[in-house]
Amino acid sequence: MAGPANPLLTPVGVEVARVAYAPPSALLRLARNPVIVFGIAVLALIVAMGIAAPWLTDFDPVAISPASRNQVSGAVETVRADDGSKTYVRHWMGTDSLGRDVASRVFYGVRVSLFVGIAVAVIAIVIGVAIGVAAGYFRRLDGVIMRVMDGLMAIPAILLAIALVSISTAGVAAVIIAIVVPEVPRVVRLVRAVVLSVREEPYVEAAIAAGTRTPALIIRHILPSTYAPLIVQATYICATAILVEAILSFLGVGIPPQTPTWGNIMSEGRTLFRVYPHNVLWPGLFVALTVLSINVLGDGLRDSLDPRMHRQL
Amino acid sequence: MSPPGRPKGEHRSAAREAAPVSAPLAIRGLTIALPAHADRDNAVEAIDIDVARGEVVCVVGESGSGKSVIAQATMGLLPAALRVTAGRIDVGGDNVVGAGEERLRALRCTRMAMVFQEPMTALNPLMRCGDQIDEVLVAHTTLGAAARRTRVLAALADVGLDDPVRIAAAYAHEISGGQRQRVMIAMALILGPALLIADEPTTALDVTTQAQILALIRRLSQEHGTGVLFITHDFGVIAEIADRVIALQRGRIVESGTRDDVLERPRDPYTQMLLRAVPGLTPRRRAPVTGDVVLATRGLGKSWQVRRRFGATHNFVAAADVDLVLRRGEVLGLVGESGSGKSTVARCIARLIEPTSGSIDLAGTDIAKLGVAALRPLRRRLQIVFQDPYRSLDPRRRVGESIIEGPLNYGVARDVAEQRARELMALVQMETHVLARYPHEFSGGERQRLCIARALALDPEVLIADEPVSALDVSVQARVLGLLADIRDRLHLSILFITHDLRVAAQLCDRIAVMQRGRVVETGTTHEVFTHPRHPWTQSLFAAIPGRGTRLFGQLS
Repeated sequence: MAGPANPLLTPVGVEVARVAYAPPSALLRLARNPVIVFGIAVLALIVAMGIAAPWLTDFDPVAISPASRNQVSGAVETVRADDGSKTYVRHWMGTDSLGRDVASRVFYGVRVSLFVGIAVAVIAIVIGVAIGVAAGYFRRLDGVIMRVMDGLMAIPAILLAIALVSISTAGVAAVIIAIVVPEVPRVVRLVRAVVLSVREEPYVEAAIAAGTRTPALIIRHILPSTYAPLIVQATYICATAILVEAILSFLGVGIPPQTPTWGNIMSEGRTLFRVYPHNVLWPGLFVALTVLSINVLGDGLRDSLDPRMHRQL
Repeated sequence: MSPPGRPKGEHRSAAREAAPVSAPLAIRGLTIALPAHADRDNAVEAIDIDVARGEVVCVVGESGSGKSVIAQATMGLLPAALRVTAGRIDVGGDNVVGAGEERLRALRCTRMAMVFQEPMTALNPLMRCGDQIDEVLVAHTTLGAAARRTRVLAALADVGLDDPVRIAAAYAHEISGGQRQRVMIAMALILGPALLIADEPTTALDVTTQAQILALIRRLSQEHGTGVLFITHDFGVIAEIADRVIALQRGRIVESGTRDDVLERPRDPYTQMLLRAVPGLTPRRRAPVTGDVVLATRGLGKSWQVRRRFGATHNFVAAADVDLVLRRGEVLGLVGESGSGKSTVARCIARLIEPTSGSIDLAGTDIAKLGVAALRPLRRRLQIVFQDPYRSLDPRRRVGESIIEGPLNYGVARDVAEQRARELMALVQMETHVLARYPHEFSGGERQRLCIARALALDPEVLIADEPVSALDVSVQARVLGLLADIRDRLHLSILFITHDLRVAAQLCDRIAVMQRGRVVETGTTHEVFTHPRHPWTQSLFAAIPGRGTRLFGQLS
């Protein structure tokens, strides 16, 4: 059984069709893309920090210690035990104006940031896929749904968060809702566009002719085409969510200030930034690194999963 | 001129060895390497081609034979993955192999020009046609604006466009496919190049338009003395236009000679096979089919509301008053040009789109207005095979899964469905182990056979075949047509066969319905329609068939 002929020799139209339906060895290709490997490596390191936070430092992230306020990075503190023996501990990233260890707070902050990022991405994708499929497949709903989505897209995340916090209490749930709402329409648009193009494909029509019911048709033949763009979109949403969460906490409308989040640490360090910049710089560095690695991962995934980019790689 | 150490092919005659240096095209020993892991080492190997002034040389071959690569190499447009490893290409006496980008830019349009298959994508959709031709003059001449305008209009008139001023001001989407191809030819020839390369320039066109474009290229070549390298897969086109023919198989020249020599006395077995596979125009005589009527449409119509400016709507009629009758074991051909509504009718009958009027009688039930639930049990009686085999199978599912999907939908047990799928593989002449593969592992012809197997998995009474062989090479086409005929005989299946190609229709169809602008203008047995076409439109379709009247395709009556 001969394989497909060399794509370079076939007419252009046919060639595009062949490349678009690349073999399902996408995972192998991903592993060969250095950009993706770098993104995954940095992210893995950050995740490991979040998981291992209790063992990485000797300090409780919320314990206030008036005696050791505003220590610079690397400052050594002497701890006297009850029996009079002395031990030395080091504040690798210094302490804040309440004497809390910044390193410990930054490591614990990984948990909040990644939780918010992943939760927002998952919730936005799930809701967006449901609405997007409805808009793309059931054409009668399309007009109504898309006008509502246009309306939602006009709501700024930060104003929505302030409104939500003022009617309920500040917390992770309010922050997640506030970030999800403006992200959903972007997912809806993406899914709708893919559904609109795939539903015209002959293989979908062949399945209709073979008596496949609508739910099975959507799940088996239409949704798989959305996976690749959605994975890419999810990484961008995740990065955006981490940034917006930090902004909201920084503004004091996000997660309560005692919870160690990167936004809260920066917010707390803002007043003394000129004298003790480490309170803002360390969490800022981590926000930047996390968002960068997620975006780099997203770009790499896009290049690997998008068939049009293949020939340039 | 030929590089040393390379054996001479038998196709190189002494006469062409002595061709004058300034011939429009002289290719010697051209070898172009494919990237590693391709199905062969070289895209083309040891190619010699000569094109004299005013001569049309056709390069014929199936997809993958390397014929387009020769055109790309001559224009200096080879994809980066391909390299010329040996030989030279002299265009008007200058070697273009290894020429720099600057030199190639100067030579294109002045020395050599190209016309592509798809005029819609070859023209810039955002520029007026006249401006695009003007661009060539701006780049290569020092003429003033008024002089350029005169030359553009003259060039448009020269390619047989009646109203050059209107065409020059039009965008590509505002003119027909044939007009677009004429604009492309005007642009290619405006600077009087010695060589015109035409890469399947009529493949995307309807048969009546194709005939006009072929006549145009022929006339311009003779009037201007332009040498034409014409790339095609269609022997009908060759019979119409070629002076000489070069047949390529897997990158090697297997036959070369005058048109009549190659078409009537082919020496190479591959060329002989290709020519045998070309469907003839003589319809096969079969006893009229007298079985029960399995499918009948009455007054079937489909129209769309098209929104115009300022909220006005316009009723676009894609099909109207279509009456078709299909009997058990019969093949009914639905023939027409693109836009004639034949696919719309097929999709209405398959209920992939809702007909706006009329009835569709399938096994005693009118399915035209049935709701989804009532339609479902009837769907399995009517299956469809699509034109494009590359998009007809879900790329993410194993072909076996695609084939058993229908039976599973109707409650057949999985092992029974799988057993049936294996039997179907024998019917479509494929091996059972291919069921575990993905669609991209198959060639176009193989995919189309898998699509036929999928359609048959539900044991339908009616099979709708929407241009099932149009995307396939001629030899593969013959196999798929043979398969459909075999299936009809064995399963006593009724087939609604949609095609734009009368030659294909002649091979398979018992009766033929000819469509024009959404209406059936003529119906009759294949023999009647072919020997005594009554409607003027049918007559003009026959008149336009390329290669009609040559011995290759048989006489009409």
